[in-house]
Amino acid sequence: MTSQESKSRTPGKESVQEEYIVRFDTHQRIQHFLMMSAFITLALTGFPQKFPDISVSEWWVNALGGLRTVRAIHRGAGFVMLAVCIYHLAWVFVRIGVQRRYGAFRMVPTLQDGRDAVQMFGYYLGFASERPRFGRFSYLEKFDYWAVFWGIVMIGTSGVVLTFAVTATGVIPGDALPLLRGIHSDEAVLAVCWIGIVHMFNAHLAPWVFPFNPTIFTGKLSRERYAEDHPLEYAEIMSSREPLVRASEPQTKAPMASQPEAAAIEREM
Amino acid sequence: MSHARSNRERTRRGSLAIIALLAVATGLVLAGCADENLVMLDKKAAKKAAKKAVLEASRKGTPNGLCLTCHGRPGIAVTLATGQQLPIAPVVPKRYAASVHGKFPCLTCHEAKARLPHAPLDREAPSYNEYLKGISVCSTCHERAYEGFLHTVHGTVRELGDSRYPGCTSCHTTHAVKHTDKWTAADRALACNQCHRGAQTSFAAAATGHREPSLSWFAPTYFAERFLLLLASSVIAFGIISVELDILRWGSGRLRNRT
Repeated sequence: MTSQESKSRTPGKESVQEEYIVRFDTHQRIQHFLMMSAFITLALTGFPQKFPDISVSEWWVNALGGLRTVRAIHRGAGFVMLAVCIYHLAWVFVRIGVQRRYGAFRMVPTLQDGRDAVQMFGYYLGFASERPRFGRFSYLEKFDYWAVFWGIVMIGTSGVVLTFAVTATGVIPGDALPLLRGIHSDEAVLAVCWIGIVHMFNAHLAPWVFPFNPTIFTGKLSRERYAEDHPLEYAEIMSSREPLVRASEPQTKAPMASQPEAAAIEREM
Repeated sequence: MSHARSNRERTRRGSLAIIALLAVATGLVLAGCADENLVMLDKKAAKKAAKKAVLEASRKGTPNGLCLTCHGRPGIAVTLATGQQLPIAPVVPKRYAASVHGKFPCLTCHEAKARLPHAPLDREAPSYNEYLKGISVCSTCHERAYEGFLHTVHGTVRELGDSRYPGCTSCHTTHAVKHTDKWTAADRALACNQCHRGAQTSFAAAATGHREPSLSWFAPTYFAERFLLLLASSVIAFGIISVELDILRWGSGRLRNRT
């Protein structure tokens, strides 16, 4: 693989990729991979149960080995997702509490996110001349993150209760079970639609990143893309570049395939 | 004297004829009830009960009497071709009479059983499972309840092709069906316990009774579902609009640059 052309969001502004900036560390990549795998498994085994009257549902359940197997897979994947959630919280705790690195706080929504959203819609409609300049996380990325949090609380909690329904009704009233079942399945449909439409578009299907953006798997984002997608953070990184650049890193520009590691710039999470 | 003797003789012959007739009738009924060999598990008791049942049936003229001759008493089984002994589905006449269906003749539900001997059943066929669980029978009259059942957790199991799904008879029993208004909390818990071991009355309270939640029926679930529908629609609409506007803006920018 030789140097790769990137499609710029700004039309007509295409150039060759140069250096990479490490956007996600190994823990974040593992967390995303596990979360993604569990999510896809849950969707594939949950949707036939949500929509049993669609003929393809029965076919799919049979293909997977029957309803009992599908339920076992679904519950297994659910517990994997909960485990990833605990892993993530532990990771955040270690980062902040032990390592004293406060990058995680950048995920907290601020008023600026609201202003960014307004400006973005203004840009879409032609009222603003340019897109908002994002920092570490855009308002949509924050929305994705907190939506997952909301989803885990709502869907995960209800899922655990429904899995151990008989035991749970020793503590909670039985009337709550239909309520929790409604929450579990309706929230799941919302989550799948959001991830399938908005997240997939922003991450992979948008014309300027199509067909695939490997950043969440490799952890690296091209310097040019970084400057375009997260200009405020990019400026911040560049202003304090020296301490962030690996000691062995050559200062020359290198194509991705030839010296990907050497060209990588680490940043604080 | 001879006149009196001939009268006694006539009475004796008449009695013998009645007994013979009853014996023949009993034999015919017992032979006709089974599609295969009848096996008396307790021959003496079975014969006695059969005789009594035939007498009662002929006396009262009840439509179910004939069926209950065999099905109304325990201890009778058929031997299948495989050698397996299958007890004839037992019915407790008094419990059936006291059930919500007690006034209906057996043939109302068991139409196919009108012929004697009964047509052999294919126990491997899916229709047999449906029949056994009451789906095909009960839904004939209880259409709305059946539609509601399909939307329950139990209905989902059936829709997804799992033959172990709980059907109508699993919870409502076959011949001792009580109106659900007369179910006690303990009755419900007992029904749930057949599959959900350890289920208590609080668990049984989760049963929505084949009805969709409404303002007066599982109101919290009703409001939660409405809220979630609104939330999901709003969020997804926001997402779709956002994506579409993004694409349109990008497309219009490209067009402007070309021109």
